[in-house]
Amino acid sequence: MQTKTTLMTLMAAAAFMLAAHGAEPAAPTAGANTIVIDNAWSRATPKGASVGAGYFTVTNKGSVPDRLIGVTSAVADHAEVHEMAMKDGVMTMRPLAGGLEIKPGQTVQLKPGGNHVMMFGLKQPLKGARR
Amino acid sequence: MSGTLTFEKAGTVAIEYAVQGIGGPPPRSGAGNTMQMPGGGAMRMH
Repeated sequence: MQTKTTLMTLMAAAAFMLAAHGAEPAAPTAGANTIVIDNAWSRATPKGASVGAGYFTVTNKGSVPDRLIGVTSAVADHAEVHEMAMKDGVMTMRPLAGGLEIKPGQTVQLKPGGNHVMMFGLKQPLKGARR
Repeated sequence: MSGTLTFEKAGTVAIEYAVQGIGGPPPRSGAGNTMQMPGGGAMRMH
């Protein structure tokens, strides 16, 4: 009886090891993703201005696509990622629906005239560093 | 001027904007130091 139980245990263990060996490799996880933000800057605003903008370069050094889905600013009521596009000869600006995708290895630049962060309800003017 | 960026997979990354003077040129890219953030993110310091 004991021999039979031991044999069945060994067979089960062997089956488990074979199944594990033949399993699909684990998909990349969020932890394997690396986002690098570079050259973040903004422009000073005049006194009384209620909106400001932010720009930066984002690089996805990971192996899976990622998406910028939210932005906040310490000096604004709220912030959004906006896109600028030419429509019927008129430059329009609107919130970027669905976020901003960054493919693996891709670098995306948020810059004046293109995608950028809009900050609404500034609590104070944005001031440049004194030199 | 600080803020955060939230990514679908990498999570939330802190960001510090260098504020340029009104009418001044945008900063040259490549300046500053990169700092790795918890959760796989990083940011460039100015």
